[in-house]
Amino acid sequence: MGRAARFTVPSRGTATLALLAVVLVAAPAAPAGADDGGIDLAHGTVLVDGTEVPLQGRFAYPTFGLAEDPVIRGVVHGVYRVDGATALYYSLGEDTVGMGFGEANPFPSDIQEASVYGYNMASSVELVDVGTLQGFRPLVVDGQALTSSSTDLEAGPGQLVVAWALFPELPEGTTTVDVQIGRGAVVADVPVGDGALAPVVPEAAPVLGTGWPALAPSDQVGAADPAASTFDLARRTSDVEGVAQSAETAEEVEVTLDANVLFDKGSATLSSAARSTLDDVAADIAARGTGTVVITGHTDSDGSDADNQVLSEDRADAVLSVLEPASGDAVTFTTAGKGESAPVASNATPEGQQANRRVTVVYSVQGDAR
Amino acid sequence: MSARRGTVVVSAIAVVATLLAGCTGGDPTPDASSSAASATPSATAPPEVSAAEVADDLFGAGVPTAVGSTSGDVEGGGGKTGAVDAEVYAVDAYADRTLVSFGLRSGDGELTVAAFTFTGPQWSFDYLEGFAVVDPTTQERLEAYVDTSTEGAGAAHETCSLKPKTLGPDFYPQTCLLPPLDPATTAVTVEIPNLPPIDDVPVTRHDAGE
Repeated sequence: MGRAARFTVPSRGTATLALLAVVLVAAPAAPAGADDGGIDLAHGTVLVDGTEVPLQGRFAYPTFGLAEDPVIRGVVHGVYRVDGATALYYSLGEDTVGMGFGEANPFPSDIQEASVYGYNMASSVELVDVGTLQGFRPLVVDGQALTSSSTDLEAGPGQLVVAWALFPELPEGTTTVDVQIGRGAVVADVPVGDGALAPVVPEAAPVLGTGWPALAPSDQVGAADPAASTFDLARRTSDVEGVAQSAETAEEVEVTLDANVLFDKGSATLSSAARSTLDDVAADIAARGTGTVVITGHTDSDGSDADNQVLSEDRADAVLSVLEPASGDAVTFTTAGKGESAPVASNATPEGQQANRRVTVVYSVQGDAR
Repeated sequence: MSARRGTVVVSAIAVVATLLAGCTGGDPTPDASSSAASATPSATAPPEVSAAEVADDLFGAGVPTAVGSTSGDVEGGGGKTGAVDAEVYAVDAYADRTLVSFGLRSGDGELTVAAFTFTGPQWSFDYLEGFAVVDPTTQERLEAYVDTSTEGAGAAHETCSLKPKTLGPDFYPQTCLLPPLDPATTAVTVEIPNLPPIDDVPVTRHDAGE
């Protein structure tokens, strides 16, 4: 229900007109900082019962992934550097049945990973740092995530309660992150602030506007292993034709070349279309490659193992013959053939076989990612 | 109060109410409890609202306006083929990332999304395998970031919503975080696996200064 519907119409006619006229003049079209005429849930700050509430973006997901499920909706309040960790605050709720035992469960068992994060924890939350290509999951101590407990997240229909999670410390230069919540819903470009939110209240999951929940104590934060909650991300791009697919981490680039385009069928002779693709790869290696470049050929499972082994080795050598002269002096090369022994897809389908016919080029990089 | 006078008052109320709705474009307007603070805004003080107003904005948003759509048939569970509609609500371009918001629904009753639905050759069970945006400026296809520690294991974490288990008549909300677009790009092609691509989807830029 929109807030316009909350205007009550008094029963007296003349007084009603006068009151409405005053309201029409006095009430602004929307609060300051609003988008779409409403509250700016993406980049706003509001005062709720005297508590300053930052709003950094909304999210929504059906609880258990089924079409008829209640939809959990929420808003991220912010990501903040705190002693030894990074804190995430967010509010969430459901508007038909509410959240809690027997009602909508925002963190059902299929997304909890209880063996890692403990049972009934609001642990399905991640921070994504696209600048450093790192991801962060909640800190864990003694098999329990440092997050709100999902059993504390009780709210009536249409009510919002505040939850929290603690992650490893973000890299020093990181100024924004992306937040994933629940069934992977993404809130993008959330600024990173400093310090925990105040005032802190005793409730584990306070109603929005009544204060902020206490985070885990410092001794628990100190007992967690940040490395166990940090993972590397790969940035994946390809050319439009899909001939060269690149997966790039902070330290390494892996280019997967489609052998169906690079070579004639069953042959190690490079096609005319291969040249420009390999020139692009060589240019990137020359610009920022370091160490040893590893070229590996792969085949599908058609044909004998021995023939496929030879074909994969010959194809790796063919790629080497183009890359090595054009890649500068900062790198060295090595080649290998793996035949049909390392498929990336099922050989039972034509699509899978096509994906398995490939040559990979892996090299370390220095300097900023592209 | 006479009947005639009552009619005039009701009509006037309707006119004022219409004006109010017009002023806000039909969007929520602050109620009396917050209007006093909102009527005298300062340059720095945030507006005062109630928790219920924040919730109203959140829960009352409805389905966003689509900026692109597609439809097609996909293989569902039990060997059945089902019609699926997809709508793209926004392609938000930031300086160093892109966020795509979209929805999926069944066009023909409830559709069970089988493990192999919306997959490619790697049979990703958890995500829409191959979801991508094509940037016409760079001629690059951009896909979600993936956790390299589990890549290739079929359960690698990606920066996208998890795949729905079923689809019904309402659009199921999805988001996907991708690498950045070229700063000059104003429209893209959105590729949803198993469905025809959606061309010329406008980009909303959030680069510095915009």
